[in-house]
Amino acid sequence: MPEIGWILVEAGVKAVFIVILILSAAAVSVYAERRVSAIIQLRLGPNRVGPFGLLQPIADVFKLFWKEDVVPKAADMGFHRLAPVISLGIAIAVYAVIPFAHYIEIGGTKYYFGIAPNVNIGLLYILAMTSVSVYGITLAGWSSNNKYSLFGGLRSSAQMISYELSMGLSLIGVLMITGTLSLNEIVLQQSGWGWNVFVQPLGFIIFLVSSFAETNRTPFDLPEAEPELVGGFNTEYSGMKFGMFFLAEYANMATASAFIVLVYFGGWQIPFDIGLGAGSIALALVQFAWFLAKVIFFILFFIWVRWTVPRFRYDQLMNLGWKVLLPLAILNIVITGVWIMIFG
Amino acid sequence: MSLTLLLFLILGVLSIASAIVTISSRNPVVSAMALVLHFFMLSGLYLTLQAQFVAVMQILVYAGAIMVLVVFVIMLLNLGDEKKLSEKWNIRRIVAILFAFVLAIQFISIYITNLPDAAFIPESAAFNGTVQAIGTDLFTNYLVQFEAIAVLLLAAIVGALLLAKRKIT
Amino acid sequence: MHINHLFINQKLDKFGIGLYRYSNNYLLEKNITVLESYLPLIFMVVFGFVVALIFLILSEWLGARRSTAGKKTTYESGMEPVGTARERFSIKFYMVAVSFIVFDIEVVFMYPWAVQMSQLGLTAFISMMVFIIILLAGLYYEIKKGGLKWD
Repeated sequence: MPEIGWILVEAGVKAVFIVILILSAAAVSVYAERRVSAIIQLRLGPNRVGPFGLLQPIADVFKLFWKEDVVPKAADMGFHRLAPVISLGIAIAVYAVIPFAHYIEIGGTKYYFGIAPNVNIGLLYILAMTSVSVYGITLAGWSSNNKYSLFGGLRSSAQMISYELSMGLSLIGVLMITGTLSLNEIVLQQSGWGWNVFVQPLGFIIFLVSSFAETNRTPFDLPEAEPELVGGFNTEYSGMKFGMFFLAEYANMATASAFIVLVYFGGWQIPFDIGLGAGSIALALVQFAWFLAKVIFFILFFIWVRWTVPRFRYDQLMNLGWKVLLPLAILNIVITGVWIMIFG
Repeated sequence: MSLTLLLFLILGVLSIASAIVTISSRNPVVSAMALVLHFFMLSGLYLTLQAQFVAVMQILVYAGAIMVLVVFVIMLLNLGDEKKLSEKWNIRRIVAILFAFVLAIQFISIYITNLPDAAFIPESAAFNGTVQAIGTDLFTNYLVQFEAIAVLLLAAIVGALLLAKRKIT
Repeated sequence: MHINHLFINQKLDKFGIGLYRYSNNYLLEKNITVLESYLPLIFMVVFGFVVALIFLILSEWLGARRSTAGKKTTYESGMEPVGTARERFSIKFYMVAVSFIVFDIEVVFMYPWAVQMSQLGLTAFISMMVFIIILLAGLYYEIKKGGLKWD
């Protein structure tokens, strides 16, 4: 099976690069979060480790690894271990279908930037994996055998499944226009300034709000509402096991930003002609940088919102999801459908 | 050995193993998680048949939605004493074993007569498994069934409400 | 093992399904089967879990071990834990999960429709609107009955 071997080698090389990218992106976002929150709250933030505290995330990782791993006696050991593995594993696996740039051509062979960005169901794969990541949080809450953890985990799962609906429904509008679930194809159709956000503004807003809820970020960070639930589902986690949830949360934030950019903001498509040939390494790198710049913008947006907007109450959160966003998303589909039927 | 056969063997063995864990484990949460794993393996098996849309639906609907409800219910019921649930020998068990035996004979007879081969997958499978092909089929040939599903789902909502509300009051 | 992707492209033209061509052209360009195009994806899922497992093993191996009986008690703001955490919880969570399944299945039926709607025409559009109205009636009933009420 020589061909299959080569496919696996190619996938393996890309996977290693992507995992390094995810982990460094998570580390940088943690640093950015602490710095930005400090600026917003008129503090200094981390500034001791390295210049401007830039080495702080690395120091944090080492600290987390060498911290004692305290597990309560009442906990279910197997599931207590499994939960962070599910969270982090899925956070990494989601990146399989994300295209970071188009392709480079070497010796007549095209190498795509992404593990499998051309598969027919790429967009649904991301949604499917996000829906499975609920287990990481539910099991963490249940296995800890702690009341705070259990309620944090339950609230979080109920919240995630509720907003998954509006997320899926808001994407339908885009699918009606693009007619494909392949992420590379969706990006290709948004050439120039033909971004989907201009034709799907309502869908975009619903998607943005839902992705805040899906990633458990403020104003939807109810599962970690410190005043009432201590640490939420990860109350009984310490050391790198806690770090794994932490990493997964920031990786999910990066995924959500990348997803928004790919579906609504043209992904890696450069809106102006820069005079580089298709398939050249230079063009691919410019596309990658352009994509990354947009993703970083959205990560900063996530951070900005977290330190500006107060937390919802749980009933407000559920009402928003079921009674506001869900009907609005359906309205968006009807409007898009009628529009396409009349003018399409 | 082709990739299809190789993946079929790996996923087949793992799916049977996880299914056995599902039905034999005394801890209901272990059973539920084994079933989630089983759905992942099934999804891989669908991929070997080139049914891409069904494969991702298997994860989205079964692993991501239905099993979440199952896990919630397990936690809701708080099954402390699982031993109470273990069944004694009864007529149902005997009938089940009989049927399992018949099913096994059927499988064996199929496997003896035709060995499974990658060549069995028709060329049009690559096309029929896509979202686009399923969309075309569902909304031309199966429209009535599609509308019937809406009514079925409505009945599900009403039924769930009826059950839940009766317990509250 | 060779699948005739050109044959499929012809078939697609016959059905008027142009958009699937992109992923099919990718298969044609690489001369691989559908399953082979998913192999990297399967690999990434396994790889993601392997990386997570390595993290878990490293954390258990590197972390300090100075365990005492006090550390191993369940955290409850410094108090002795009251009762057990294996409590039954509100039926509202169950209602949310059931409603989620119903509407998730609805959404699942919308994906194949959405990608093909420009080809499918008015009949499919109207039947989807009927589908949506029936389920919106369900949602309205549930909200009015207080099935999604949190307090």
